[in-house]
Formats: sequence, C-alpha cells, structure tokens
Amino acid sequence: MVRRGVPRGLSGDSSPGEASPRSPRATIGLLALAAAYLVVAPLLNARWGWKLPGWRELAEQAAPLPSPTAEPQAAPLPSRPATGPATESRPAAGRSASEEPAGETRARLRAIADGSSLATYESPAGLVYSRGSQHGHRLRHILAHAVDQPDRPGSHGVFSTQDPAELVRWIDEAYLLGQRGERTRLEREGDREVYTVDLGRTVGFVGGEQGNRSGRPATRRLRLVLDDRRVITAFPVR
Amino acid sequence: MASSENRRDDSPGRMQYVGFCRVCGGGAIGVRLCGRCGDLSLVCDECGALWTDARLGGPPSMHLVDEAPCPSCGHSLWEAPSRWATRGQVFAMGWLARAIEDGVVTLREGAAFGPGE
Repeated sequence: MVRRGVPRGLSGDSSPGEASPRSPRATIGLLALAAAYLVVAPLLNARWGWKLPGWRELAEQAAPLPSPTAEPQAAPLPSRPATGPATESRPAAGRSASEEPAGETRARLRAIADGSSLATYESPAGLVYSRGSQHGHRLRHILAHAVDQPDRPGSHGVFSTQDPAELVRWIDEAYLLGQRGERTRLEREGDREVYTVDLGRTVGFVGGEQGNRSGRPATRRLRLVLDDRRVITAFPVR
Repeated sequence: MASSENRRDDSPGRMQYVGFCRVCGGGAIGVRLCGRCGDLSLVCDECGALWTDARLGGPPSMHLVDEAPCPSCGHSLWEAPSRWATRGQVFAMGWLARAIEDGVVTLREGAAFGPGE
C-alpha cells in the first residue's frame, strides 16, 4: 500500500508505530535530513547557482533582524550574468561595501587610492577591484582617469570627479544599467566584456592628444571593461 | 651624436607604440620589454590586451589580469625592471623591425600612461 503525502522511509511501512511522526526514530530521521540539507544546500547553490536558503536565511525568515553594519544606500548584489554559477572564479575579497559602514568603505578606498593598500575591494554591485595594471591596483588605474594627460596618444577619458567612492558608484551604476541592457552597447572579446553606457548626465570629458585637439568635449558615456566581475578599467568616452 | 629623438627615446614616461587597442578602444598599444628575458610584447596601456606578433587586427594572444606574465618567461611585465622599450630595442627585435619595415604597423612615440616605467 502506498500512503499519499508521507515519503516512504520516513513513515516506515513495516509495522505500525515503528516510526510514527512523534517517535524518537522519526525525530532523529527528520533531524538527520535537516542536517543533510544544511550541508548540501550551499554545495548545490555553488554548483548550480541555486538560491536554496541556508540556516541563516531560515533563521532570519523566522525573526528578521536589521543589519547594523549595512550601508543604507548600498545597491543590491545583482544576479550574475548567465556565464556560470555565482561563485565560479570569483576572486577572494574582503567584506563587500554593502557589508560595512560608509565611512569604513571610504577609508578603504582612500587607502587604495593613495597607494598605502593593495587590498581587494568589492563594490555594492559586486564588481571587484584588485591588483593589476601598471598602476598596481585597478582602482588607482581608474583614478588616473580623474586627471587629464594632454600628451597621451589618442584619447584619454577624464572623469569629472576625483572621489574614489563616487567613481565606484558611477561604475556600479553603469554596470547595473549594462546588466539590464539599458542605454548600453556591449561588446565581447574573449573573456572581456566591454560596456559603453550612457549615464544620462555629464560624467567627464575627452582629453589626451585627440580630446585636446577637439576642445575637450564633454561626455555622458562611460566605458567599462570587465573580466568576469573584475574591473579592468573604466573611463569616459565620446 | 644622439638626435633629440634619441634623447627622448630613453626618457622616463615615454613609450613606443604601434597602434590603438581594438578591445577597449581607449589605449595605445605600447612595446613592452621584459626585464628578465628581454623579449618584447605589444601591450595595451589601458586594458592589458597583449599581442605577441604584429597582427593587431586579430584577437590578442592574452589579456593581462591580476598578474602580467611575460609570454616568454613568466616574469612580470608591469614590475621593474620591465619597462617600455626604447626605439633602439624595438628595431633590435627582428620580427617587430620587419613588421615596421613592411608597413604592417607604424612605430610612433608618445607619453606613457601612468607610471610609465
């Protein structure tokens, strides 16, 4: 006989009462299943990109708690583009900006900007700024676009802010628009994704040799080059 | 006697470059000298796309991400003693000198982006 609604093996079907829902064996079985779920769920999430809740989420659903360290204006972590599971080849990073107070984030960014830190920084949108480039760190490389270099060959996009926190916000904004395909042109070259996004307001001007010959035209567009979620560079373009 | 161009050639912050990057559209492709093996690579000074030959219209051979290994020996191309090659070093490298002489690429000199060493 098949009993509906009760999985075989949980109810026991040999003798009545042997594993009734209230019996110690049933309780142990349920606890074992729950423990197995808590172990397996993160593995399934990592392997397949699922979002099965873990014990923390289950506990929060039961009694939601405010996060005292969350940055109020932090953007939510976007779902990853369909290139693989969320944890695949994600670089090791410290706390993301969405997990720490704004003042602490600013201090971390300032330390990277002035060269006293080479720490990896993850933005609220999940973009990763790590070591690399001839400037030593991707954020410093991007900050080199906060000043004109009039004798640089070709064009040199110059941001209209020198504040690293503001630059990170603008780049996050461009990334999120790019993820939604809004006002965005996306090109791919191997592992590289190149977003050119119209932010709808002036974000800088075109400098360098070419831009200076053209009167340093203002621009609303930001180009963002990514390798997975690692920021390679970002700069204003005509 | 050294020409004024030759004096500029060795000054810090100068870069020999052979075109502009088709990947990011924002960088010049400079000639980078490996400080260990002396080999030359063509590297975008903006996004790190790297070519090991002069066919810049094709996809790059590799992209420099966190590390910047020389394709020949693995030494870092961004860390000293690696640097932008001088004009003399460019013409001492057979494959690149031939590509310039054949008009496959045009060698120019300009300001390096950033530290420039």
